[in-house]
Formats: sequence, C-alpha cells, structure tokens
Amino acid sequence: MEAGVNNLALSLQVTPSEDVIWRNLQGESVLLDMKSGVYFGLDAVGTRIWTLLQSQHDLRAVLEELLREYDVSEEKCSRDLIDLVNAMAEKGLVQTAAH
Amino acid sequence: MYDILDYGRMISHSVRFHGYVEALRRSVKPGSVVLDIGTGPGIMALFACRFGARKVYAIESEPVIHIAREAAIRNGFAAQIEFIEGLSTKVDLPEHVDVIVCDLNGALPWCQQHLPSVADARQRFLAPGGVIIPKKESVWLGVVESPLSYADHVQAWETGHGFDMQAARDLAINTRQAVRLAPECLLAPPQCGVVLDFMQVEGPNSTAEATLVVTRPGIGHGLLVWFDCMLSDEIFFSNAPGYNKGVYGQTFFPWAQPVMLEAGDVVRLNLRWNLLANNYVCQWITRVLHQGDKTDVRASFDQSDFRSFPISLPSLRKGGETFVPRCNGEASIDRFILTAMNGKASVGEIAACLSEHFPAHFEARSEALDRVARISRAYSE
Repeated sequence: MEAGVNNLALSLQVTPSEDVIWRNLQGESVLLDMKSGVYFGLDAVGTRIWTLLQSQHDLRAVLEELLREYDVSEEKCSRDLIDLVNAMAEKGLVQTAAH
Repeated sequence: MYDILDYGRMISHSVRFHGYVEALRRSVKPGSVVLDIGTGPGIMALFACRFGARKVYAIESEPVIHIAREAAIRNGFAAQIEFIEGLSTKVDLPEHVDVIVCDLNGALPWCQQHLPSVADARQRFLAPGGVIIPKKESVWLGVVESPLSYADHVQAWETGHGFDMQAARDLAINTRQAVRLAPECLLAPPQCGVVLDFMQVEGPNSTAEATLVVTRPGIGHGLLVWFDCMLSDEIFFSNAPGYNKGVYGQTFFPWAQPVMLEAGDVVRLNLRWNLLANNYVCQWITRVLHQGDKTDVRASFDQSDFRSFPISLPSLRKGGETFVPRCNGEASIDRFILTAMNGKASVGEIAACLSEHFPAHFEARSEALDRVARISRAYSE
C-alpha cells in the first residue's frame, strides 16, 4: 500500500525505486531518476541513508544503524531520517509501504 | 556525428548496404513517395529515384546534406528529391509517403532519437499500407568468456603501477565497448531479449530480458548484446558473433567482477534503456544463480553507463532545480555579442567592438572573431 507522505513513520518499509540509478562521488551521491531525467544530490549522511536503504528497507533498522554510527540524539536522527525519506518519497525516489 | 569515411564504410559493407538497396527496390513502385530519414550523403534517396519514386523527401540534420544535394544534381534527380535540413520530428511534409527508409542505428538500436523518429514518422507520414525499412530489429543477449575484452576495461587500473586506481576501474566496468567476438566465446545459448517492431514501436525506452542456462563452464566476463535486422519479410542481416561481415558487430557490457560459471548455472539479465534529453542511459542488471537455485545467488551486479564518466559535482549542482544561478564573466561576453547581433553589424564589426570592450580576453582579433562566429552560427537567422 502506498503510504501518505505526511503519515510516514518509522514503522514503514522504504524501498528505493527501480527507476533510480545512483553513483557515489567522494562520499556524496548523485541520483538519477530515469523516468524524469532529473538529478538529485545527497550529502554524506544522505548517501549513508540511501546506501543502507539498498539492503535494509525497515526504517527503524536504518535508524538504529545511524544511531550506532553517528553521535546524534535519537529524536533528531529520527526526525531528519523521516524528513529525508518524506522528501525522497515526494520525488518518487523511494516507495513506502506499511509493514 | 559521422565523417565522410564513416559514410563510405557503411556503403562499403555489402551485406548491410545491398540488403537496404534490395529492400528498397522491392518496396518502391513507380510513382511511390519515399521518406529517407537521415539520408547522409543521399545514396538511398538516389536509389529510390532509380527505382521509380515520384518524390523523395530526404531529411538530414547534419551538414552532409549538402553532399547529398550535389549528388542529386549530378545524377539528374534534383527535381524528384526534396532535401530538408533538420530533425524529422520537427518537419512537416505536404503528403503521406509509401515508404520510410531509415538507418539510424548505432551498434544497437538505442541511438539518440532513432526510435522516437521512426515512431513519429510512422504516425504522421506513413500512408495506409506503407512500409518501413527496416521492418524490425531483434536484440540478442548472451554471456561471454572474453578475457581480452575484459582486460580492456580493467587491466590498466588493476595494475595501477602500485597506485590505487579503483576510482578509474569503477568507471571502466560501467563502460560498454564495441567488439567482434567469435561464437565460441558464448557460455550459454543466447536469447532474444526484445523485438523492436517499427510498425508498432511507440516510446523511446525499452527493456530486454533473458534467462540463460550455462552450457559450457568457464569464466563469465560480461554480457554480449547485438541485433538482427529484418529489413523486409525476406531480407535480413545479423550482427551475431561470427557474422563478421555485419557493419555493427556486438556490444560488450563487462561485469563488475569475472564470475566462474558451471554448466547448469542460470544467468538472469535485464537491460534497460532510457532516453534522457538526446542520450540513452543504459542499466544492466545481472543475477547468477548457482544451478538455478534462487536462494544461491553467486553474483549480483547492477551497472549503468551513468557511472561510466567523470562528473564534476560543482557543475552538476549548477543544474540543480533549486540552484540560483548568477552570470559569470563569460556570460557577459556572450550577452555583449547577442546584444550586438541586431541585424546591422557584421560578424567582423561585432568582433572589433568585442575586442575593445574585453581587451584582456581577446589578445588576437582572430579569437574575438571565432567567438562571435560561434554565437552567430548558433543564434543568427
């Protein structure tokens, strides 16, 4: 089921779109949406999240991994993660679904 | 795109060329109207006239069209052939045509505006019962053992002369190359991944898929792709391994790593082509299943020529949707030239003013002249 972007929560499954190809550039990354031809950029943290999403679709598991890797509060990290996933879902870069 | 030697080579490839000529001969009837898309030096348009066409519309976006015009005059067909400089998708014709002939392939059918051009011409110009040459193209996928081809991609970067050249290797293994391999290189019977029927093709994008079962053990180095071309129901040419008379050969798509393959292993291939602006982005996805067992994936590669070229992040950012651009010094020069192109001043006069206004940029008058000439060619009427 396609979840409403505004209701996105950590319980969602997040899957990178098959129409997006990406490449890493010195720790940052460039995403290309093959349907629209639009490029998107991700900073180092965004790139880490995108990389984790390639193999881990459970958003809570992604959060836990980020908390292990970065010195950040859970509240801020989860907010930033959800914001990024919301933005990517809005652009069609990821699909979200309930468990 | 092509130089005159390239055109000569195409005409000299007898299998391909004679196939096109014969398909045209069988399709053109006395009084036919023919559309030749990408006429190049005009040979097919001339043949269409020789076979009795009443009218030929010959479209070409490159300056080689002037060679074609001259050839039409010298061969006495100037009255029958109407040359149109530009892209076929931007052109209107005053009548429908009975035959569309177009040879816009690269090594594979996905070449710039080839497919959209064919679809557009068929929809707008082809009369009921009309024919398109070629009729259809079948794209074949195989898995190959080809250490020499693979070495072209990786050897220099893996040796590296003691340096870590992984960054270059990453690009190289996402780069495809034209090859001419022998059938013995194939490790599994190839499969047709997609058929492009030009009487039906609509959009520019395609997916070719195949599931190959390895019959000869060996080291898989990558994917081999080629196309067979049905020019008409009876006329056909192939670019398959072993058909070395074909003009195009095959295309080798390397894998990220060589893979040891055993007889009975299954290789799933998925090749996607998406046209973005004027160029295709290709993605090739490979899954190697040991003895076909879906739970035993021996190799999994997701590659794309999107990863085959260096990218400048600052340059890419400047094209981002949210980037707020501000003109630099070079823009001031071009703006000066464009403003001066008012229908009164000559290129030489504008260049003289340009040198005066930007003395530090143009030490020699020829530099200013070159700059103005470039802008004039691009933007003057």
